[in-house]
Amino acid sequence: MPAPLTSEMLEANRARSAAERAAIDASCRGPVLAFAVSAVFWLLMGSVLALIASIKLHSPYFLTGSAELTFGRVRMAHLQAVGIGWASLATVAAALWQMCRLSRAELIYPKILYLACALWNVGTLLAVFGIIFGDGQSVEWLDAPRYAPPFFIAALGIVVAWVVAVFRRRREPHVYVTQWYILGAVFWFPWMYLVTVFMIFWAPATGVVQPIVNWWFGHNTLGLWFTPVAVGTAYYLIPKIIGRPIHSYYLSIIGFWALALFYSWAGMHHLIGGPIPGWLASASTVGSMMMLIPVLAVAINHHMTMRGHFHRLRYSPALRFTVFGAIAYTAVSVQGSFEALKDFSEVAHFTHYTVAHAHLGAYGFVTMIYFGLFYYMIPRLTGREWASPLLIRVHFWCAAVGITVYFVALSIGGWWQGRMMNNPDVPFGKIVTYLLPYLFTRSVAGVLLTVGHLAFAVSFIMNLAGWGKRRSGGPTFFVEPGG
Amino acid sequence: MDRGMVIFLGALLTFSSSWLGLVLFPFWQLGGEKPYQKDETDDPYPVPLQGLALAGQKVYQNNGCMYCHTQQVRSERFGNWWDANGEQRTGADIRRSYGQRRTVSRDYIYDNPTMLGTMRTGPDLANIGVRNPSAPWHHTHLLNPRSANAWSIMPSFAFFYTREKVVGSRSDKALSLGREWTVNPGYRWKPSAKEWDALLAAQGPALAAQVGLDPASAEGKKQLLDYWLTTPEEDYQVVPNADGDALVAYLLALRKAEVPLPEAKE
Amino acid sequence: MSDPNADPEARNRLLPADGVGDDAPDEPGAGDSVQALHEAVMREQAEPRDGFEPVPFWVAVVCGGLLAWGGYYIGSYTADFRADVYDRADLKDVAPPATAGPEPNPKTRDELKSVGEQKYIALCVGCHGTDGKGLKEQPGKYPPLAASEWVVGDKASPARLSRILLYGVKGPILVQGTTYNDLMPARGAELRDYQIAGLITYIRNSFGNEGDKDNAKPAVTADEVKAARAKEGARKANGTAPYTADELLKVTEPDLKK
Repeated sequence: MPAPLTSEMLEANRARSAAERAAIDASCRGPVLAFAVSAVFWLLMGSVLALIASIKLHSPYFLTGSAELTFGRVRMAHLQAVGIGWASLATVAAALWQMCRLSRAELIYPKILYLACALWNVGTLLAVFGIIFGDGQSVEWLDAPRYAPPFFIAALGIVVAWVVAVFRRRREPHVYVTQWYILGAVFWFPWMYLVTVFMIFWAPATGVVQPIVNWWFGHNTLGLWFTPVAVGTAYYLIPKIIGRPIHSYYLSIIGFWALALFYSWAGMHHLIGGPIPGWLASASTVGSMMMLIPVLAVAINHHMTMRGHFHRLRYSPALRFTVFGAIAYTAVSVQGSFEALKDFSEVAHFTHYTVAHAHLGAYGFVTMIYFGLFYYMIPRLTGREWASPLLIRVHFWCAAVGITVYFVALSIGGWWQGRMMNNPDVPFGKIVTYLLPYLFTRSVAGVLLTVGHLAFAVSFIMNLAGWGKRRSGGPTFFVEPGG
Repeated sequence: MDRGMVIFLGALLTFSSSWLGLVLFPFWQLGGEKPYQKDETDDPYPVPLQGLALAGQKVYQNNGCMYCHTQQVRSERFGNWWDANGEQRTGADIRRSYGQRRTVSRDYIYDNPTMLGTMRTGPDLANIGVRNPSAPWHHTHLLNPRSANAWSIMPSFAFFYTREKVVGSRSDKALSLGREWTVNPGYRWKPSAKEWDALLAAQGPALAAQVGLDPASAEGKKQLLDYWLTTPEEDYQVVPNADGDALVAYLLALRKAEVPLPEAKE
Repeated sequence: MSDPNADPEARNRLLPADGVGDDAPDEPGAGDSVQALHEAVMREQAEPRDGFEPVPFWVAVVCGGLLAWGGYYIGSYTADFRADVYDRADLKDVAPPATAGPEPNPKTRDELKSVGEQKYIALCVGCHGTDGKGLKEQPGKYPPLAASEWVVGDKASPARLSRILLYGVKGPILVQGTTYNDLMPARGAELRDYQIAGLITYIRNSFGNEGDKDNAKPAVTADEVKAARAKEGARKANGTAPYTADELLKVTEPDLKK
């Protein structure tokens, strides 16, 4: 048995690990920053498009002059900007950085990833502006015109190859749970994307098979592309920042494999009541309810790891955003599981209730966790701490209050919209008029969210450029410890 | 779980279960559906879109109409409500005349892309060609939805229309709307106070004579303005462009839940 | 985390960071140095690792319960994975009866009015308005029903109203002194007889048309509408054979002999 480590040896180990991590960060810093910057750019674009769309719903004469800004096109463009733009680019940045860190392997030939980043940006640009100028496809999540997918496929191919290459070069023999999630995501997403683009665009399937494949893809994008990397990020950041191990390896196993098995069966709940054979809807209701298993496992893992350390939420931005996101994950998943039951779906289908649910997931869960990741990761890549705790505070509170108001307003409005729609004695006009105050509240929430994004973007630019009071010697906290 | 191969194989097997079950199996089950023909003399149903209606489907697709309007009618057993007598009833979609029956997969075999829709910000359109077969109504509604429904939040699709000077006689296709809807297509126009005063000075007595109103009194002036706003412009007309015509042709071709099908039992 | 001591090669494989230099760390832009990079990574905790707490028993119970429920649901609600069964309720039932039940035939004025009101809201307000006076936004475009001679005046009769609703009307038609020249859609294909009867009863008893208590308009039932259809015979109710005003005026006999 080796002799016990002395404190000098521990110090030396720490220094060596730190040096290794610094070198790993240095190797992947360029590409990861490129993806991160692109992601934030599309976040801002997506926020502007979202505001335009939201205002048009309660003020239909707003910017009504042009074909380019008609609601249908702006809505499609918004989803592309935040879905393939912000969220996917942040997913790639997260996947690359965390795979490098956890594998303890440097990124080689990083310049090719710059090409992938450029291709992805070009694709997103073509998607967003192609839609605005009239080539939208009206396929949920895949509205991008036909000339955009080749760029995504090429970029995705490069990213996937590099992530797997890093994994194969790993020095760390133990594979941590975040790595499983990342490997799953980069394997599943290209598969589902290629199948769907093939069956809807290149060799279109007959009739109702198209929406079936579409929602298999759309739902799986949420659960097998964004969710794994976001949950994996929470699995990385929570124990990392606190300095404790994750509560239970066995729960991690259950969480991962149950997600892999059940999530992909849940997609047809978007078509309950629709013109699809009943067995598809039933199978998806079961898949959706089974998702309670992995969500429970993940929630217990995160919660028990955090137990006794919740006071750290007062200080650490990265931790606070991440824990907010992790709690939202549990909430939105449980809501989604029950929303797939037929009686619930009968009311909530086709209403703004679903929109609220979607944004709780895409924003409250995925986006908040990525904000947490950026707050942690960027200083390590640039060597500079965040210049302004005020901007971070503005960002957090605008985001947290914004998404809560958004969710509550549209959930209430949407629920009653559904109840009224199911009563044919209620004229349609009454439903529309009823919803107006809720839609207006959503716009207000959207303004808050956008202000938060602007604060974040300003922080980010200041950090990249080295502006502001140069901060070093300690992380930027919400409030100073002891103060 | 320290071996990449384990993760890979597991991810492959779990995901392929849904790929087989939710994609390939339904593709095999539903991909070969043929139109239904009750007997030799009837028309087959459905028939593919052609010509202007097919072009209109593309206009519908490119402008994201699907994101506010569904095209699927739910069954008699969907949608509970309690009526005025306190009895529980079902079948809200059918009661709202969205269709005679629920829609089934056969209704969509010629729809490409199949735009089922996910939101009912506006009413369902699966059967709009049956429910509202008036092309002029659709044109005025598309130009500015508030000309038909004051409560509407639907966007004005004025870019499907052109406002042009009348040369010779008025076109057959000109929309018959009062000038408040056509002077600034897409918006609801009102003259400014100065413009109205100038107009009254120029044409006031002539207008008043037409309607038998007194232009001097405040009440008379107001009624004169209302009258004037609701009369069409004489020297300008609003006509649909190719996209507008195509879209309305498509809407009138939407007659999905009309023909009874054996598998749509209610 | 493996012990770097165990693998001396590891240290040698460390790559130097980009832009390594010996710049003084206090200058702006010197954040690229390994020293500055180290600051953040130096204070980091170790990379996350796994704890090995056991799975709580109640989680296993919940999972087992969910799996059992899932199995039951699949068993009951998938109708053998048939492609021609669409509804959840269908999936559990025996095949529904071959013929639908008899069509409703309400007889009282209130029942008919309530059926008619629902259809009016769904199909008619868009042109005839919520108050039966046409559209405020487009005056002179769609004829009013309130006090209309075709609804409750000298030109009104159940026979004519049935035909208007069944087959549609093609203008020009004179209503209360104004000529309307549009096309009213036929409803005979999409509405059943009792629904058309309901509509007729509703419009004759709303918008001020109902008159005084003693003179209220009687209910028009599905039987009358059915008789009208029978009399018309081959005329299609799908909008291809609308009535004109002149043709309507020629309809003088009631369809149902009382």
